Amino acid sequence: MSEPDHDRAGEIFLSACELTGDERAALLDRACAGDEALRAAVDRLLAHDKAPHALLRSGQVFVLPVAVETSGRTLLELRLESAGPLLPRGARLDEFEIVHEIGQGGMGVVYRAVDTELGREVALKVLSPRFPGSTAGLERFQREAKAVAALHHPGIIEVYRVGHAMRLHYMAMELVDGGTLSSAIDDLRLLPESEREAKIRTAHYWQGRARMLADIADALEHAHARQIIHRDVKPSNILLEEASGRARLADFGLAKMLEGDDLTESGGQPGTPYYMSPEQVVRASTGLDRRTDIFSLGVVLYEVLTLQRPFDGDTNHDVFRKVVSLDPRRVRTINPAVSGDLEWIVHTALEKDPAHRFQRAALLAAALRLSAAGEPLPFRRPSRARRAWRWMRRHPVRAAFALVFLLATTVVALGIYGIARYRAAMWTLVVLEPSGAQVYLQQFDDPTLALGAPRLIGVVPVRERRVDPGLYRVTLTQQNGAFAEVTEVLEPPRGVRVVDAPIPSFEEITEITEDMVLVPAGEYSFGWSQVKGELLEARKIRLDKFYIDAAEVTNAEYLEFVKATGHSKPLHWELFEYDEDLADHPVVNITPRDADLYARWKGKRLPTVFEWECAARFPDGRLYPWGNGPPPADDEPPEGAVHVEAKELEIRYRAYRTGTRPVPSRPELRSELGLYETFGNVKEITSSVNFTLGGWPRIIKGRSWDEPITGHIDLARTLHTPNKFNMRTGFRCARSASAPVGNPEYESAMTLHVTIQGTFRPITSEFTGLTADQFETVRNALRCVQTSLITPELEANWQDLQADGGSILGGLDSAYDVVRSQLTPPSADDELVITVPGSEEWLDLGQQGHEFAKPLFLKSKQSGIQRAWKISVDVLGIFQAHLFITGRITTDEAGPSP
Amino acid sequence: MNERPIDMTPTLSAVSAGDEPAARRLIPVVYEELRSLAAAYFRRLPPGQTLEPTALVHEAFVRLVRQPNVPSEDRAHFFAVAASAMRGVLVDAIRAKATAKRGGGYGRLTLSGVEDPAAGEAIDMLVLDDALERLAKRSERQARVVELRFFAGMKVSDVAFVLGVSKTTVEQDWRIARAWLSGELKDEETAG
Repeated sequence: MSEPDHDRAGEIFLSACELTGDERAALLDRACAGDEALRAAVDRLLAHDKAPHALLRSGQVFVLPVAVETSGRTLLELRLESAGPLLPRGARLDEFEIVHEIGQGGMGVVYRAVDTELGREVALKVLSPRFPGSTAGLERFQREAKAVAALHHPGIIEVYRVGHAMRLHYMAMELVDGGTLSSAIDDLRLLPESEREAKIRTAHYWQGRARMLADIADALEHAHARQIIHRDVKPSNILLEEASGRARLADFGLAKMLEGDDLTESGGQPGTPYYMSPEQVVRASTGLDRRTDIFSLGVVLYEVLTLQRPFDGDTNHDVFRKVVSLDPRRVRTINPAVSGDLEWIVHTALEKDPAHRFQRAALLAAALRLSAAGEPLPFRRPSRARRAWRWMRRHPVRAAFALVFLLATTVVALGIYGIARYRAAMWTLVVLEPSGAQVYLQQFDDPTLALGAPRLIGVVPVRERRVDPGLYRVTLTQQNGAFAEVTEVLEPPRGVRVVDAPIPSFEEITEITEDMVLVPAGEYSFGWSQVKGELLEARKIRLDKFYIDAAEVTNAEYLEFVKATGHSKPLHWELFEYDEDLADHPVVNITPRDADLYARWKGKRLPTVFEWECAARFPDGRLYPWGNGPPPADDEPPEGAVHVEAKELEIRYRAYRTGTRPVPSRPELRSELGLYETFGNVKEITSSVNFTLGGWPRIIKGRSWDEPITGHIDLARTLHTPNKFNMRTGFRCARSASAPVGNPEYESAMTLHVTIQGTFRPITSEFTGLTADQFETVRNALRCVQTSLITPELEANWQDLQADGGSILGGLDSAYDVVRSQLTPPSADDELVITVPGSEEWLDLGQQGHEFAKPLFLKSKQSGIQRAWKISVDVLGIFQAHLFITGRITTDEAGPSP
Repeated sequence: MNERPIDMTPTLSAVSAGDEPAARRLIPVVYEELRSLAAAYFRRLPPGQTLEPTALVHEAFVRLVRQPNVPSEDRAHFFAVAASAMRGVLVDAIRAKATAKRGGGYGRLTLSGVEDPAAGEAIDMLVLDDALERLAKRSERQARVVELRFFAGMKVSDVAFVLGVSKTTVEQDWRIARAWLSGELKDEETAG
C-alpha cells in the first residue's frame, strides 16, 4: 500500500472536521474517491483529533517539564503523585478558606488561607491524600503533630492546628511573608560570577549568615530538648521573614510523621537527598537522634557560605554515596573570606560520625555566634594537637603508647565540651597521618590465620574507626601507590590503637628492600605433619608476593633503632653492656611488641607464619631450607648449649655468645631463595598469633642454636606471649611487594576487558638495563590510578585528532608508537615504563617521560573494536601517563553493542 | 560557561531584517547558551525537580538579548531559533546520557503535559523527536509549528509571524499535526 498524500489527507481532514454525521461521511466518500489508503489516513487523523495524546491536549502555550527518570518512574510522576490536591480559591477545610497556592513541597501543597473564625491569615499545608497511608501512620502523624504543635519558639514556625477534613490532612501554620533561604541562595547563584563573589566573599556576608543559622540552631535546640527531631533541615524549610530579617524553621518533625508511608518505602525520599545525614542514608529512619539535624544544618551552612552543596551528584545514589564517604572540599578553598573558626565549625558539623559532631545544637549556635563575633572558640585546640603530633614524630615509639593516653585525655577534654563523646564499645583505630592516605584493613581469620580481603576504612585522618578485636593488617596507601603496613594485634575486649606508620617514598623502598628477598606470589603448601618425608596433611595457602629479610636482625641494626627512637634496650645489653663483638649476631631478648615496633620503624612488618615458612621451604615445601636431605652433622647444638635453660642469665648469655653465629653465615644452608639461618641461630618471631590461647601468644618459627634437631622445619614452632623474651629468640622482617588494593575503578574496568587488540611489548629487566631489584621497584611503583571508558566527548575529540592526521587505528603497537611520539622527554635519562593493568606484560616507552601532552583515542568500527579504555598510569609518583587501549568484550557483560 | 554571554541584539535585528546568514550564525550561539543553561539546571536541580524547556528558552533570551525593549518581531525570531536549538539540546542530552551510562539503568528524559496530569503519560523525548522528524518529511511547516509551540512556547500569532503565514494556517497546521502525531505517539506506546 503506497503512502497516502499527507497534504491531501490534511485538507480532507480539515474539511471533514467542519461536518458531522452523514455529511461528513459523504464528504469523505467523495473526496477520497475509493483511495483506501487516503481514506484510512484521514480516518486516523479524525480519530486522534477527537482524543489527542495527552501531551498535545492543550490551550495556547505548552509547558513541557522534562523529568529525569529514576527507579522506573519519572520524577515528574513522583512529584505529581506526592503533590497534594489542587484546591481552588474559596475551598474550605474546616474553618480555613483557601486563598491561593503558595508553593509545593515533597509532601503536599501549601496555600495561603484565612482562618474564618479568628480572622487571621495562615499558611495551610495540605498533605497529599497518600498521607498518611495506614492506621499506624495516622496515629503517628497525630501524635507527632501534637508534639510539634506544642513547640513555641521565635525560630520555629508555629503550628496552629492539625486536622483533617474531606479526607485530607492539613496543618495550619503561621504565615510568614518572605522567601525561603533556598531562593535566597538561588538568587546569589544566578548572579554573574564577579558580582556573586564580591557579595559572598565578605566578612559581612558570612558573619550575617552565621548569626542567622545560629538562630536556627537555637530553634533546633528548643525542639531537641522536647525530644523532637526535625529530620529535614534544608534551605527550603528555612523561611526568611521579610519584615524582621529573621530566619525561621518550618516543617518540624513532618518527616517523622510521615515515616513508613508509601512514598518513603517506594525508594523516593521525601524531599531532597542533599541534606541527609550519613546515618539517615544508611539507617533510613531508625535510630536517628538530634545529631542528624546538626549534620543537615552543617550542609546548609556549607551551601550558604560557598553556594555549593558539599555533596552533589546527578542521581540520588550518587549523592548518597558522597554523603556517606566523601569529605567535602574545605569551605575556605571556595570562599576564602570565611574565618578558620567558621570553617572548622562547618566541617565539625559535617563529621560522618555523629560522635564527632557538635553534640547539641546549642553548642553549634554558640560556636556560630562566637565565630561571627570574631571571638576565639573555647573548644577548638588545633595548636595543641599539632604540637602533640610533632612530638610524636620525634618519638614514634613512645608516642605509640603516649598517644593512647593523650587521646584519652583529649577525648575527655573534648567530651566536657560535648564535641566528641568517647565510646569504647570495642577497639578504636585512629590514623592521623599522613593526611589523605587511604587506610585499608585486612583481618586475619580466626583460627585459620588466612588474610582476609582488604576493606577501605577511610582516608586519613581516620579519627575513630571501631573494629572488632582481632589480628589485622593495616595498610596506608597513597595515590601514587606508595604504602606502609602494620600488623595490629587488637586483643579483646577493647582499647584504642593509633596507627602510626610513615609511608616510605619509592626511593626509600629501594633502600628498605635492599637486603630482602622477593618471594613470588603463588599457592604454597603448609603442613605440620610431614613425617619421614611423607606429607600427611597440608594446607594450600595463596600468598601475594612479598619481601623478606635474607638474614635475622642483628644487634647492630637493633642498636640503630634504639638510638633513633629511645626504645628500651634488650636485656643482655642492659645487663652486660652492648658488645661490639656481637654486632653482627642476631639480636635476642626481643618481645613480639619490640619486634613489631622495630619493623615499623624500618618501614617493614613481621612476616606471617605462612610467609615465613613459605620463604624457608621455597619452592616445593621441602623438609629443610636446604632441601630434603638430612642436616649436616655439625648442626647439632654445641657443647654446653643445654645450659641455656639455666637460671643464671650470665650462663645463658655466655651460651648465646658462643652459640650464635654472625649473620649472614653458613651460605650452604640457605634456603632456595637465599634466606640465611631459618633452621639455626635463633628462633624468629612472626606476626601470627594463636587465637585459641588466652592473651593471643605469638607464633615463633625456626630453631635456635641450642635446640637438638627433633623434626623438620614445619614442626619448629613455639609460642610467646606479647611480653615474653629470651636469649634464643630474635626475628626478621617482611614487607608486601604491593599495596593490597588497586584502584577499584580499575578493577571493575578490568572485569570487562578481556581481549585486547594488538600485542603488548613485553619487557624484562635486561631490556631496561635495570638490575632485577631496581626493575622490581619500578614495577611496584607503577600503578594504574584510573581507567575509564572513553566517553562520547572524548570520542569526538579523537575524531578531531584523526582529522589532524593522527591516524592511530590498530592495536597497542600503534598506540605505543603514538604515545611515544606524543611524549616530550624532560631529559634523556628519564625512563618511562607503562604497564597495561591486569597484564603481566609491559609496554616500554623508552627514554621518554613526563607529562603526557595530548590524550589519545582509539576506535575503529571497521576492525570491530567496540570499546576503548583510557588508562592513567602513575609512574613513581612523579607523573601520570595515559594510555588508551581498545578491547572487545567477550565476557557475559557482552550485551548488544552500539 | 560563566563567561558573560555576548549581546545578540544586533544579530537578532539582522535576522529580523531577513538576513539568512545571520540567522544561521545565531543558531550555534543560541544552541550553546541553551546547552549550558540546561546543563547547569540538570546539575543544580535536585533529581526530583523538572526542567521546563520554555522557561529555559526565556532565560536564554534574557541572557542573550540584553536590550530592554526588543521589538516583538525580533523576539519572535529569537524564539524561532531557540525552538530548534532547544529540541537539539534535549535530544543531545538524552543521547549523551544514554551513551555514557549504557549498560546501567540510565536516566531517561521524558516529556509530559502538565495540562492534564491525570492523563500524564510521559513520552520519551526521543520518540517525539523521531515522530517530528517523520512529520517534517511530510510537511515541514507542520513540524515546525509543533516545534515552535512545544520548545519555545510560542503563541499562534508569533508562529504565524515567524513562518510568514496566516494565523488560520497555523491553527490548521496545528490541528493536522496534532492528530497525526497523536496517532504516531500512541502507536509507539502500544508497540513499546
